[in-house]
Amino acid sequence: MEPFIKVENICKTFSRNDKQNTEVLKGISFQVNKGECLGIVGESGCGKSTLARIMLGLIPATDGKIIINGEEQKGIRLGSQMVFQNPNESFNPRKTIGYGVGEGLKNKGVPQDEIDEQIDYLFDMCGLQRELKNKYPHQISGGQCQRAAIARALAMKPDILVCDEATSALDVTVQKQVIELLQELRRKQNLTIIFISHNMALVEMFCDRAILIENGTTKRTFGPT
Amino acid sequence: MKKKIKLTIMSCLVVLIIFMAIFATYICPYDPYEQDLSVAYQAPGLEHLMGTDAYGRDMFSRVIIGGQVSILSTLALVAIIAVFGTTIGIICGYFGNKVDFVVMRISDLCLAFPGLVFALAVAAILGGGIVNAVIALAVISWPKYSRVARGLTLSIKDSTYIEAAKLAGDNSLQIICRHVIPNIIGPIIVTATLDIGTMMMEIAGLSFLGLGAQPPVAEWGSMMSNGRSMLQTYPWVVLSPGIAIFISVVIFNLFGDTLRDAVDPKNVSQSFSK
Repeated sequence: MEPFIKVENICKTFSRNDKQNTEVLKGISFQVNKGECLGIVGESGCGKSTLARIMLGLIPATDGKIIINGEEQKGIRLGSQMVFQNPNESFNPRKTIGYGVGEGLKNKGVPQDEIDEQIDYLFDMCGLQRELKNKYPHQISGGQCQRAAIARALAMKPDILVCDEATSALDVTVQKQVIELLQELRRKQNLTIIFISHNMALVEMFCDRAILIENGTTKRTFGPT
Repeated sequence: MKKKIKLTIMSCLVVLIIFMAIFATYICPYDPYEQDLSVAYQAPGLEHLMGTDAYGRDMFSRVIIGGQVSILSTLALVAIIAVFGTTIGIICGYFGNKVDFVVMRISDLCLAFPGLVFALAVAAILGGGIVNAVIALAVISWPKYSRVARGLTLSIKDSTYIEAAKLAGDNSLQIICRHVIPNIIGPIIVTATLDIGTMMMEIAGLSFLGLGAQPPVAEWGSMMSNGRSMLQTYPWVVLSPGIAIFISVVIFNLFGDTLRDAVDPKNVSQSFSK
């Protein structure tokens, strides 16, 4: 069976000037099947978030390619969404949470009353009180904000969800709630999840498979190949 | 609640000043340009609230009509430079690359050159008149806003919420309008309101040198300059427009601060963490 995501020899070099180049990723390759949850682990600064941003098209790779559902990815793909590490910072401080969740739908040309309905539905699904949609990011807790970030990602009806250290900024109880929510969503919506973390225990518990990145290369693969 | 009251009061005062400037001709008790040497240098009293000048013109009427030129030209100038400078700054900060390099070097040139001297040169080429003075000052004053806007844009353009907006399908224009501008407008408004006083004085400076408002047009800066030799003998000739400038600048500054507090959601409501 053809894998859903094929990451082939991804390299990324950040250059400040001609003399100072930092090679972050040195040929990362892996494959993910539809509905699978792949963990990406590695110590801080090893390039996990860079890889996530390349996969989402937020930054270009220096070399290599990403094939999603048989098509080479070029630029941002709306079917791939991300849940960021710092929940409060992933929402515009000047806009309400509801605005942030519904922004993608607005861009798709969905009428405002339908957007409101969708937001309510997504809030219910993620276990958020509907009143929170009128709050600003600084007015709600980190856990609520992360749930709202998941709701925002789901609003785009993604087939791939990249969680970049999505639970690191949360305390243990809230971490558990967010993980349970992700597990439930994965089961219900057959989401393909890329779960980036430096917490091995969490990855072992949540993911089907995991890869360890060290010095910009895939060091090991855990779980079934 | 306190902030709302403060904002309401400051807004009313700003509206009052602008209203007085617009309808100055209807408010003046005397013709501000009518000369009557028999009442020259009359001290402030019931008949002439702010006294009269060397030509016997009523200072109160001249201060009111002077506000029309001073305030409206200053507001127009600040609006032009704030909008233009901010737009340029956002474009440079957001898109970067060669445009950023070229525009920022031009703004460096403008900032490195003594402002008033440069404005004098521009005004001298264009000729006298308040419109030319505004153009001359606009040419040299926009880089301040472009620098502020560029810096603020650079500080937020890689923010997580901008990345989230990109993933939500926002294009560059939507990101700028929905996310960049609302987050940088506060400091720009404060800079603009604080700039009103400076610009008022710069327009006055050009008027004094014959490149701004032309006599007999009443304008606060030129009225002060014309009366400066009478500071010790007939102080009201200088103090009347001076007080008008002082009051206007204070009101606009306080309005800027209040507005900044009002538009910042972090100040509007209590933070969760608090």
